[in-house]
Amino acid sequence: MTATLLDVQGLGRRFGELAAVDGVTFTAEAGRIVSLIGPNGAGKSTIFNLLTGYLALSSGSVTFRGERIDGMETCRIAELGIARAFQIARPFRGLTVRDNVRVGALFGNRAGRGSAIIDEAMELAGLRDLADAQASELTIGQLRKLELARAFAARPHLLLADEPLAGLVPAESEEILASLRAVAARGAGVLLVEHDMPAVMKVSDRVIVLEAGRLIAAGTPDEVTRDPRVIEAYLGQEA
Amino acid sequence: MNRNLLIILAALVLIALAATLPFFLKAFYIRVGLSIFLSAGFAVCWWMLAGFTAYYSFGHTAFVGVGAFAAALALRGVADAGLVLQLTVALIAGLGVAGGIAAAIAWPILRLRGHYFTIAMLAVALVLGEAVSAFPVFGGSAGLSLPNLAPMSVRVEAFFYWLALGLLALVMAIAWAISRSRLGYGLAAIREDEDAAQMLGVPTTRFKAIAFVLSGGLTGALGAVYALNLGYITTDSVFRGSLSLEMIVNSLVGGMGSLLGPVIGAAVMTAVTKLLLADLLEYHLAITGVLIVAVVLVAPDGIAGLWRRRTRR
Repeated sequence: MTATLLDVQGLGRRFGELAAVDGVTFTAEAGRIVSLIGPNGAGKSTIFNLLTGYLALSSGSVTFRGERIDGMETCRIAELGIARAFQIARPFRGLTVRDNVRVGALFGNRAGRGSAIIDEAMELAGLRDLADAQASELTIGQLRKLELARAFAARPHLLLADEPLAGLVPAESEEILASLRAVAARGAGVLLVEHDMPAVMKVSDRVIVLEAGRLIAAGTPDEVTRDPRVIEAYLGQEA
Repeated sequence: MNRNLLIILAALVLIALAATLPFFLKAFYIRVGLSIFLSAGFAVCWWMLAGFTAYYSFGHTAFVGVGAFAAALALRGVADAGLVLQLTVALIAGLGVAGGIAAAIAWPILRLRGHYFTIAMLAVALVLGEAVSAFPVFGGSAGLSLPNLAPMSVRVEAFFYWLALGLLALVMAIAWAISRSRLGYGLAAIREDEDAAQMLGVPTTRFKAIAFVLSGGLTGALGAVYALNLGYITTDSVFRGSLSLEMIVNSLVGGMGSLLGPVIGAAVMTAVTKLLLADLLEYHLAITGVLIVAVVLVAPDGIAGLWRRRTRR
């Protein structure tokens, strides 16, 4: 039995007439990797924006570790232990890798701060050798790692990883997947948005499938790949 | 030896050396030194907001003016007091009133970003300047005079030289301490990407307000010293837009990337305008303009940036 970290009930967000997210309900647990999949425009990144307080909810509720967090300030939510790695890397370009990661350590979950955490986060993301490099000098793959390192340093109870494998070569993808597994093994929950289906099926404990803002299926990777609605809506006949 | 300790020791040695100069220099050069310290102090105060957060104010002269007038009015209440009390009252009045005004406008004005913030600060300076000249208590167009606080035993220019040096050292120490603190890292994150900083847990609204109030308040304290040195102030002399411009130009010429940038910029620009161009008054502004363009072209990161680039190679 694993503890429920995040309890999302009837989550909704409208942009005028468009329901970008419509009555989505799911949970995320400590030590588990839960993936959100769906075609472009399914509402995956919007859900991340709602969970982090960047967008306001139109309906529903979000409870994190027993506390309602919908309506809270973004920075307060981060402080409670939800860290996000962005889809498009947003490094602090004028700072070194170490100082980027330091910001994560200083402002994330209050439970952990200090230089050991910074080193550990860089190690976990495979960036130890680049600690003193300027973020502006990193390659795309290294920037993705930096996004994750910054989030790891925040010592999150829940990590939101938004397409961390996009644009990476297979070897880099493997490294990142190993990092995510390591974070989950340490007891944090991971909510993953990713288009790389083989990777999702390999790494996830549970998969949630979205289409046009609605949840259409949820279950283990095996259950989801056998679900006729998923086959029809997303994975295609060859799945 | 610890790097921070080394920096502190080097700074103390430099301050001590600078403090001895009035014993050897002619009055003219002491006044040039005083101008450098005041300009550098203003530039560092401006940089405490712009360098840390990338919120570029075009209206910091508002805080100079407010600090100057607050000091002038406050000194009337302690006209018979001793030097130390008068000076303390003037500095606290400048710091407190300018900091208070910064705190009062921080929340609405810091909701604006980029050019909107820049222009809004210009408007704040214009409105405050007009407001001060409209009320008789500030002396109207006649302005206000301030007492000479320099003791009889000390040359006036040397007294203000030391005062400005002390304040410059103080604002630099504050800025340096901030840059190494949690607040400093949060402000750097805001400068680089405010939204990403917020998502990482940086309380952006609160941190920006702290930087703004510190920057405005300390500018006000320096404004008090500026006014005391002038001895007589009008809205035209302490709310003038060229003061804001000098803070910006000094920081850009010296380099926005480090705390030393504004100080180097102020030293270079003051030395150039007061010493090299002193006899070329007709061409003064044109040559200064050409110099600024040249620095921006040759060293877009300022003089300090040029130095950093060379040492990194």
